[in-house]
Amino acid sequence: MNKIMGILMLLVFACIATNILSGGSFVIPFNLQNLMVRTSLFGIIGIGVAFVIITGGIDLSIGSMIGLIGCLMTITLIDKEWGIMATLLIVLGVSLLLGFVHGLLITKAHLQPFVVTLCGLLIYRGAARWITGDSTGGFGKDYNDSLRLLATGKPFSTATVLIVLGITVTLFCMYKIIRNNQQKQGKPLNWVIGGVISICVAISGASRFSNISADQVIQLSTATTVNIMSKRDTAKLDITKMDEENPGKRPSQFMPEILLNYVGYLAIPFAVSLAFVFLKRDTHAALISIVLLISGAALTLWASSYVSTLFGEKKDIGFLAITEVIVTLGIFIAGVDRFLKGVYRSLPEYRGLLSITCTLSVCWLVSQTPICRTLIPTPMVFLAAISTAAAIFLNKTIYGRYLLALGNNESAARLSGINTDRMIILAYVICAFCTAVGGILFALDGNSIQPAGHGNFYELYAIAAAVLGGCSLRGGEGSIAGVVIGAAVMRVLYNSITLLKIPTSLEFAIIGVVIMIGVLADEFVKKLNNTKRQQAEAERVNLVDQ
Amino acid sequence: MSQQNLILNVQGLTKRFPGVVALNNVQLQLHEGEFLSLIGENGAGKSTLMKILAGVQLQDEGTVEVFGETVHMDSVKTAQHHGIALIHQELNLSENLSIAANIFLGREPATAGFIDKETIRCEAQRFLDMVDLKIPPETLAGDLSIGQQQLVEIAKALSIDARILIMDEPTSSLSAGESERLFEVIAELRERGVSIIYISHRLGEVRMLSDRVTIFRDGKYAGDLCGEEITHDAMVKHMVGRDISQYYSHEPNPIGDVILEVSKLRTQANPEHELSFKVHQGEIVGISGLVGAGRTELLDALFGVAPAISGTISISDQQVELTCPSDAINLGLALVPEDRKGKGLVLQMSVKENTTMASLKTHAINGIFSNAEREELDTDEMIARLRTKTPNAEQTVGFLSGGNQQKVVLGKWLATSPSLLLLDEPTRGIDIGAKQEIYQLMEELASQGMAVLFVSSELEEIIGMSDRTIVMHEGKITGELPREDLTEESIMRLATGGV
Repeated sequence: MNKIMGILMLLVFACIATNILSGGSFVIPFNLQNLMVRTSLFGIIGIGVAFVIITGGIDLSIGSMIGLIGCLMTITLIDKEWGIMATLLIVLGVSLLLGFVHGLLITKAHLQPFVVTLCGLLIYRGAARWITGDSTGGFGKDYNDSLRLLATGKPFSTATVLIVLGITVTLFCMYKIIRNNQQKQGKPLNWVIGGVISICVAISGASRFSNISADQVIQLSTATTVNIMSKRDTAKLDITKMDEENPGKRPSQFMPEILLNYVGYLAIPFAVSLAFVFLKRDTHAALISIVLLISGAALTLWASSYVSTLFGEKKDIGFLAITEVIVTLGIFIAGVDRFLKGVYRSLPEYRGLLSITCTLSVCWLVSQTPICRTLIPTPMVFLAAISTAAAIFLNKTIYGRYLLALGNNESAARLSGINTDRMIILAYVICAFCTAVGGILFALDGNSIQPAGHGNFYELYAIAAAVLGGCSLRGGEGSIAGVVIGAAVMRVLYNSITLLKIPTSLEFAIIGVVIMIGVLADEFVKKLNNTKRQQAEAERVNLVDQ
Repeated sequence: MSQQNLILNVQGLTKRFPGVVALNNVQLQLHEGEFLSLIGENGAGKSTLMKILAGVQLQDEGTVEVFGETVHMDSVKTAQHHGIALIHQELNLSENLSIAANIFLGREPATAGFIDKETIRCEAQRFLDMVDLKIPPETLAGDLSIGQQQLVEIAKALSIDARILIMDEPTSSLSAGESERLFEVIAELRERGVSIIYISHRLGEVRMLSDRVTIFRDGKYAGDLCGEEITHDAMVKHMVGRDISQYYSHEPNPIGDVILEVSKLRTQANPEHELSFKVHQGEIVGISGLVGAGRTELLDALFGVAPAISGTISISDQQVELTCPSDAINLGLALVPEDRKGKGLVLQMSVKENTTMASLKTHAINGIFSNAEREELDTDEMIARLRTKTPNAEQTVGFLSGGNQQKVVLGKWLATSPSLLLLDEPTRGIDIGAKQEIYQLMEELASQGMAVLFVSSELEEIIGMSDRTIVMHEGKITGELPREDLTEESIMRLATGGV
């Protein structure tokens, strides 16, 4: 859990820093939508390879397989004209079969995963080039309004998502509160807080709808929910034009802005009072967090001339400012983190109030920025579905447990009656499935498939996302949420390279360094925790002895 | 004798590992020219102390004085500099190097960076003569027998001018003749004034050779025995902390139907012998034998880990096919393996996840989703039933002590409600309290009608706990002994192949 919080922190840091440094280019809808597409695509293949990594294996063939999938699709869809359904079935079938073969070779023929998938990497690339005669293919314009919408469609607005999410979570919280009341156990407070937060999210989402007319809303949804399987052309609403028509428009009075402002101001005295309460319990920690918060706030003020870029205002920023902004953000986030950690442990009620305040402030802030005009692209829907299913599979089913167990200690797992061979094959099949979904979307998204280059290095991006997200290459460790956030961090970094006009030749080097730092920090924290645990253990033993 | 010069004085030494205190405020004294034996059960802390003395590990607290000087043993070099040499239980020779090269490994005499082979050879010959090993120093270490390698290790110790020689179970893998040879060399070394710390489980050797015996128990100093006091009973009493008769309290149960019948079974490891035997409900059957007698391989065949080549296995009068562990589990078998950390547990996972690993499938909702409530109930029940000492069910198993880890393994199998429990060295490397609790558990399970088949290398345990004992030698069953005929002599006679 700590690990996910850490990488989430890194993501937030990277987003805010990129936005400020790029003078507000980051938050414009076009950029965010693109970023979401790329994050989804790499997130999906990252989830696939995470399953393999959890078993202690590796899959190097992902990139080549994506290339092969792209080439297969152009052949069946354009050259042979077998239709959409047949194409998707063929591609899925071929991928699952290849994954199954990988698994068989690794478990039954006892080959090393590295070797098997390295051969795959070479074979599939060769196959892709051979079947297409090494010529670049694409889907033309015919499928722009049907199949390609799988990758390029934008079916939901942020507002819709916020409303649906808010209402769903509110209902879930209410259910939990009622159940807790019946059973007279558990902690209803947490669910009450959760409910309040999700109501706020739903309301802030709803408030965005009043920005555009009901007519436009209907148009928006018809334009983006065309029947994907047909080639029907539908009247579309020009999103970019809409952006121009409503530049930086504030949310309506439906969501009383004053209230949000008010809560935002309340947060400051609230935080100070909290610090005093905390001071009595743990002086040292309180002092550190107060000093960090104050210095962070001071530096923020100093750098506040750049804060307006948060709202999408363009500004040119020099090198000195860059350092300034990064240092400020770093200190501020560290201070908030330290503060939260202390409170988190000792004062549950305050924690609840604090999280409500924070959510409201963030909702307010977001409603001021162009973020709320962003539409959610279809690949994001795929990512949401696949990651939810994967997380449930890994954490709630017996097979997920088996995978984690055999990744840690295969012989212990086998002696516990787990059919380890079957589980490993399953992991490679899951990986192949995710690769297939990702590969289809990559092909549709790009619409230009070069047999020799399409998908090159993607396996490394996927593995990097998994590792950054907390998977251990030794196996037995990993979380789906971590992988998705890891993929997002990688894409944000990539995005920042473009936005900040850093020479693209440095791209790999920068991503490499960031991953290295992330993994080092993780090792460091792990070691720290171990030492702490040992000390606690020693003290415990000493107490027993005395 | 104890009035001679004190050359090694260890006081208040403490060493902690995650989850366990390996040494707790122990002391040890060694005099010039003395032969000191250090004994104690597995996990008593002997090897840890030796590693600290040899500079392999650093103590947390306490002092080590060598020749009256307090030394901070931060590396093997420091230890060697002060004349301390350790011969490990597992020998550390590089098999691809010659004897001479091994003796001077890391300290090669060299001219201008080039190894001076002639000097090495001559010097090596001198030290080999000292240990009376008549083999040319050019021979590769890998070509030597274990006993000869042991002598090379001693020669190596002599070459660094060791004044204190620590030997960790040197005779554990030697034949009787080789052991005799080793003892002669040791006697010569003592005449040269070398003091010896000797760690062994073989109390006979200890009694014969030692001037003094220091005993450790559960990481603590448990006493010294000198000269006439060194008797078998006295040593055992100090090691165990109580009389053995109170230690095992087995009452045979009324025996029920045959639950397991094995006939003409040939295991993968020893295909040349056919094994046949029966186990009844409520019976505790021991399997004894020396290392390499094929006991673990027999259990592996029964549990489907390494399926048998031929022969039949019947469970409750029904002939069954055992090709993988899950077959065996479905038939009501359970195996607690010898290698607890490598095969019994997933050390990185929690007590709960380990406890439910084998029974997860049985309780799964719709056959897929794990049943969180049931998992918690089962784990809490097993923690209470086995009195596992763990802060909570979410504790990572790797941080528990050996005894508690073993209880988690047992809990995992009890959660599957087996009818036949296979135990491979169930008490290896765990502390005495936990051992006794495991014996009680075996007793309790047998009285409930479960059959227990257990492998043990400790004769006392076999004699104390089993209703009947199967003795194996080099892959075949050399005899079965009923409880009344169980003595160390009768078991050893069969275990060494005698009739």
